[in-house]
Amino acid sequence: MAPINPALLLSLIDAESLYQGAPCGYFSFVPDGTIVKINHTLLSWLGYAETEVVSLLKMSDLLSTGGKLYYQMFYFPLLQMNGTINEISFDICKKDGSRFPALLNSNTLKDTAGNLLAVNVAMTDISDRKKYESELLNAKKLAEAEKSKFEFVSDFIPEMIWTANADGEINYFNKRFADHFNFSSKDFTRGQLIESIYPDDRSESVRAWANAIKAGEGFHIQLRLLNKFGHYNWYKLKGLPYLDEHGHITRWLGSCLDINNHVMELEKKDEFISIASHELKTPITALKATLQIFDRLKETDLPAKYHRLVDQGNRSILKISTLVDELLNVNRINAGQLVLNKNEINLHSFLLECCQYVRAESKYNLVVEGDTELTVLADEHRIDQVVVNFVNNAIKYAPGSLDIKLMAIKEGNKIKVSVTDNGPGITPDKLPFLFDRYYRADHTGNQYSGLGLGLYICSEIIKRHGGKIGVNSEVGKGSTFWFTLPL
Amino acid sequence: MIFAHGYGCDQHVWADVAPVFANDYRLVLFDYVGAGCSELAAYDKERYSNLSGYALDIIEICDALDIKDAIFIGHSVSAMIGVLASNQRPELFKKMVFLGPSPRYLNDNDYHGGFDRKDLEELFEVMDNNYLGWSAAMGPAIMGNTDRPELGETLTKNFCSTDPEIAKQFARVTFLSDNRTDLPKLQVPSLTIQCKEDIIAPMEVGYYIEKHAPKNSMVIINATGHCSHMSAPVETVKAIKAFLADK
Repeated sequence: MAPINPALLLSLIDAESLYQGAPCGYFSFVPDGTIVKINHTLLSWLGYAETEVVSLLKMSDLLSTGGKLYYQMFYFPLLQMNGTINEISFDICKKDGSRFPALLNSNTLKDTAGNLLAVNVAMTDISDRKKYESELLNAKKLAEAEKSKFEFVSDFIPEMIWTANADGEINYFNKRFADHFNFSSKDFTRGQLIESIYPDDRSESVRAWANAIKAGEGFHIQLRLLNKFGHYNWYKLKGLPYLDEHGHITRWLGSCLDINNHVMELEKKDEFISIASHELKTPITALKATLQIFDRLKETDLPAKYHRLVDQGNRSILKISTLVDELLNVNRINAGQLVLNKNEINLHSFLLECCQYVRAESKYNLVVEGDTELTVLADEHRIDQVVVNFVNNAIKYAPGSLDIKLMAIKEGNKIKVSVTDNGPGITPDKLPFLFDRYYRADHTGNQYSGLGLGLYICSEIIKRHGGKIGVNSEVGKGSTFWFTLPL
Repeated sequence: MIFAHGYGCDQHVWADVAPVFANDYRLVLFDYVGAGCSELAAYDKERYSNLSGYALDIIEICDALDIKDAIFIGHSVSAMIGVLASNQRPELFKKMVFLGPSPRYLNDNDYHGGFDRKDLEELFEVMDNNYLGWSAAMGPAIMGNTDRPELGETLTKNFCSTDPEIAKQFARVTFLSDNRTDLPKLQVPSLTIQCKEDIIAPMEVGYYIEKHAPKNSMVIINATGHCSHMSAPVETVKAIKAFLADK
């Protein structure tokens, strides 16, 4: 590059027009305050002509009374001492009496003896900044008002409520929560909450929490917490992510429900069932053996009119032993004794072969679709139990749907198996509870029998496999029960 | 000779005046608590909720340094602080010089102090607006307690007082004080140095003090503003010397 011509450079800059047209106001005044020089920008801001200002107005004429006081008390002494003073805000009075906020930067001009000759001032109009400031402030006030409204309401309701930031750090809980666990909202820490978790539940709960936050989906965790009465009771911590307009999680809202009574009831029920099913097992085995003998006698010794009775007896004992097996399954699950024997399964042929009794004996038609090559490592017997349960449910609750579709497909790194009927569907209010223990879709009438354990057992089997279980249903169209298995 | 700075300043304001007397007097310069380089931890909201607390500071300084018969030079609000101190312990002071004194800044019936309450509210607003360079409302709201040391630096550079809260309280104490009834009790001879044009302590106030404080005289010097010791140090020194020479 050729060297730049210094004469050109010099001619580029015209100090006077820079001074006059600068985006900030400039003026100078002598020690008694009289303004001796002022630029066009400031004149236009103030609404004065140059001849109305120079030698006629004083620096203090531009200030409000409060500003004059401030100038005398602070600004001038400080300017004298420091020689410069920057970014001090004043309200500047215009010719028409109106005002605008400005920042003043000043520096002094002194003679060799240190006597003040003049003060140069640069002025920036900060009306816009002030406007944004006040808007920001209003927004903040509004947000705070909303927050206190939320806190008022949440303190008022009888539920225990908490919120957490996007990272899952609890940053608020309501009064009821604080009272119940003896937490102080001032010096509450995460550690305090973790401390209050029952030791056996601790690591799993903390992990579940962290996973849920990471997954960014609503969650619930069942755990025992030490309350202010000194008891470890069962609670259900529920959390839902709150999304902003871009779909990012900005915080978590949650509740904490005391489910101790519910859990205790379940435990009592489990205990009763455990005893009852074990007691039933022995006589059933004996009865089965007896019926087997009758079955064999059927061919030779029994008159034909008893054959029907023996068949009836066989069918009933099968039903009873299935029910008792279900109960025993629940016991095993509760005791953590559900052991999986995993083998490689080809899902397509598995689905073709399962539920033979349905294909053979009923009017229902099982249609198998999906990927024919899929294989997965799973406990075939248990998975069969799940699919059979789904199919039985379809027959039971959607008896009019003659075609039942079985499908296995690959979804990402998972395999999804589904059973679809074209029945009446399930109303949305029931969907969340279908996989709960002892839940029956219709517990008012006697239309359907069962213990409400089938789907619970299914969900436990799938959980043990590391998969998910669920249902999609639309009233009037049908239901799809599905589960996934990791590949 | 004790130099007491005015509100909003610190002892550096005496740079042009104090050294002149260094040969003839022992000089005592100090910062009030909350001003200059003073120990902020020593600030006691209760004690400094009125001017007597500051007067007590003067007395304690005298006692600590074993001072008696001192010449007291007080600027602005320090004039009345000096009056209060001397009314309690007249023996500490021989003569007092007041630069721009005012026993009452607010107008009150017949009394002309110079300001209405509205003017003061405006002043407080300007002070608030210059808190940390942000408006008072925004400063704490936006900055919260976040660590912004560079703002602290600006603050220290821009203000003699490093603590805006103390500065605000001092301002209220100063401008809302009324020491008119203390003037007649003043036994020590005093001089008022009055600037011709001073919006903080107008001429009328100078005359009022001359009328109500026994043994007070007033010198009017040809200067504008409230800080004659800075804007007109030569005349100020001349007036002080003349007063001290006068038996």
